[in-house]
Amino acid sequence: MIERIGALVVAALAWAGEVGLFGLRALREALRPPFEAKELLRQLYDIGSRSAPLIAVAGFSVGIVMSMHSRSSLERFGAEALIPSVLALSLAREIAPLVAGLLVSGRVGAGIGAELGGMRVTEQIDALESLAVDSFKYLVVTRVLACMIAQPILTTFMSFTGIVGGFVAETVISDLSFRLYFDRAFSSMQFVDYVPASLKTVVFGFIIGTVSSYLGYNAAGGAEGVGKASTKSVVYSSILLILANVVLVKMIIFFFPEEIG
Amino acid sequence: MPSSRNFAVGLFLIVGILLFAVGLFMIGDRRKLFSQDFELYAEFKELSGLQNGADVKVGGMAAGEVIDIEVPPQPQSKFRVKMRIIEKLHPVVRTDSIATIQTEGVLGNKFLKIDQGAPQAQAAPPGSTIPSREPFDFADLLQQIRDTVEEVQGKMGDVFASISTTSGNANALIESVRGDVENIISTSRKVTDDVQEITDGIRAGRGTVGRLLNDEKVADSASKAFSDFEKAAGNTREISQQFTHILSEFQERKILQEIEQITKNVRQLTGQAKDAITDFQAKGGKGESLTGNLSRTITSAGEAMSSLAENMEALKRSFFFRGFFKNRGFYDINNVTVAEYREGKFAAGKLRQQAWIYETELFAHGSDGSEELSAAGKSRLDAVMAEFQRYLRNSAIIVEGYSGKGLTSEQFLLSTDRALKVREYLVEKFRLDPNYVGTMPMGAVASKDNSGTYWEGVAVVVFYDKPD
Repeated sequence: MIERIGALVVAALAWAGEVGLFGLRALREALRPPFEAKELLRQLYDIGSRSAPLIAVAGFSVGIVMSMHSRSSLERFGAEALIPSVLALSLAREIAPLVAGLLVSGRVGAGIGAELGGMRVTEQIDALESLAVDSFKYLVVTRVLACMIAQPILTTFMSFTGIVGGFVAETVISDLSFRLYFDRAFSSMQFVDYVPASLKTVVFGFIIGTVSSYLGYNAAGGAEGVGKASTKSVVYSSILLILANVVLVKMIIFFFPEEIG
Repeated sequence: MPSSRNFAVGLFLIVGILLFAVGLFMIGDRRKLFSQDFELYAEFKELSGLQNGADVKVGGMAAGEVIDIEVPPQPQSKFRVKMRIIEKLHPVVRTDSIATIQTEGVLGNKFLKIDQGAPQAQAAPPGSTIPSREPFDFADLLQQIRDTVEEVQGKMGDVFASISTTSGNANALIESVRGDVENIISTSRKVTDDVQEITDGIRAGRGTVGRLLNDEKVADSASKAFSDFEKAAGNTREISQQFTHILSEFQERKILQEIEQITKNVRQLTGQAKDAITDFQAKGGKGESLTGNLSRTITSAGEAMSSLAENMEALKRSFFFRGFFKNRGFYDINNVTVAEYREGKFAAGKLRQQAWIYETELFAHGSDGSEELSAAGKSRLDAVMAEFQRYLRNSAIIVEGYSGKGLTSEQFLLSTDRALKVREYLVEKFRLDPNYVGTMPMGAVASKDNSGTYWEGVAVVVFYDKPD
């Protein structure tokens, strides 16, 4: 039993090491020419632009829901004036980065895993290699980079659409002007609430891109393998993203103890 | 499709970056990072959870933030809070602006409130430390109320003790003063009666004094003396009435009733009353000054009485009035006939000193036969006066004129003329009171040598009291 657990741990660590090296290789390759700009643009379109509506709708909804929840709790203390501030702070610090990360990992991670897995299984990657095209650079690096670029932007979308959603929910109940709502939303916010939280999503993007690309790039076993790669991409990237979030939040608090505390 | 895809990607990137920038700007704007500012310090013993980045409000307007909090190096030192305030609000932050730590609502953040300063104070220079007030704590307030109530309870006992002491002192004061007041009143009455008697006598024109008043000059000074005298008498009467009033008030215990009323008020005032009474009893306090005033008033009244008595004494000794007191046959020189004068009715009982001066020693004859005082005559008079100097104070001088030349009327005129000239010279030269210097035309008086001739000249006579 212990042997089996030990073997699992060793296998898990070995897998994590492999993924880590895969990601590092992607970063290293990203700095070397040729830069696959066209492919990167295409990936940005797929991963970023096409995710924006989903993120915007999700953010708007989350904003409404959170505003309603905050109102019900803050109303008891007569602190309704704090709703915009509470909403904006929670969105910027945690909810937008995490929810956007999970949504992207769901939508994009599955896509990358399936796409690359399909290419691997159908030997398209081998074909590219035979054409002297660096398949890693062309397929993996562009996707990882696109994820890393798109993620903070999508998070920002989510934060702002969330605030707008909160305003819509608030304006139904009270006649608060958008100007005042927006001012109040940022009244208690500091750079340390906003900038590190936005930048940590670059790490989320890296995780999503790397894990999904790895699983797809190394997929095996025909159509079943493609399905597995797709599913695993979502599951693993989501779990890693949540785990990484814990570490990143801890790091931010460590570096900016007074401001965050 | 590539162009629309590129457009979508471009839009995505630009909108994303713009939104991010808006977020940054909003935070920066709230933190007043993009406006000119200046730094100030405030010191607090208790921070109440104030943190770096906490808002600073000047007159309720968001004005900046706390940028640093220096921890005190020693227990007795204070936390030094460094804050940044936008330059726009600098004019209202003065050297007397007070910084306090406040809470937004009940559960809100802590922020630093800075009051607008007084117009006459200077604008707080950048980097200076403005005065601060320690944060308000509800628990502290309750404790303070409890302490105050306990302190007030303790003080109540002291207050009642002080009140009874003060009442005792007031009683003792009244008792001790009563004797003096009664003495003064009885003396005053006596004096007033004397004065009344004198005044009545004078008004009735009894004796020479009444008649003396016919002389205009004498009448003026006498009437002035009387008016002063009457004023003094009036004052004395008033004082005596006031004292009668005071005494009756004391006797009716009205003042004690008032003290009782004050005592009731004092009970309500508790702590304040304690201080007031301590102050009242203290050396140099109101109590002492009240006692002091009363004693001073009594002393003044006593002094007034004694000076009145002195004046009465002086009046009795006065040239014009002493006769009234001593003997009522004291005559006015202007109303004394030569015959009466010769009989010694003027200034009877007084000693007299006489100096004879012959006409030839005194006068030089003018071209028209008139007589004028000669230089030698003046020297002779000076010598006489030098001799009389010791009798002069309050003494009457009579210049007797003598002449035996011609008819009786001529004798009278010439003797009058001689006496007047000498009197005029004496009054002017020796600055004698004219009221005290008179003339007496004696006319023809036979000389002592029985030669059948008459006295020609003057005799200066001084009347004076027997030495005591």
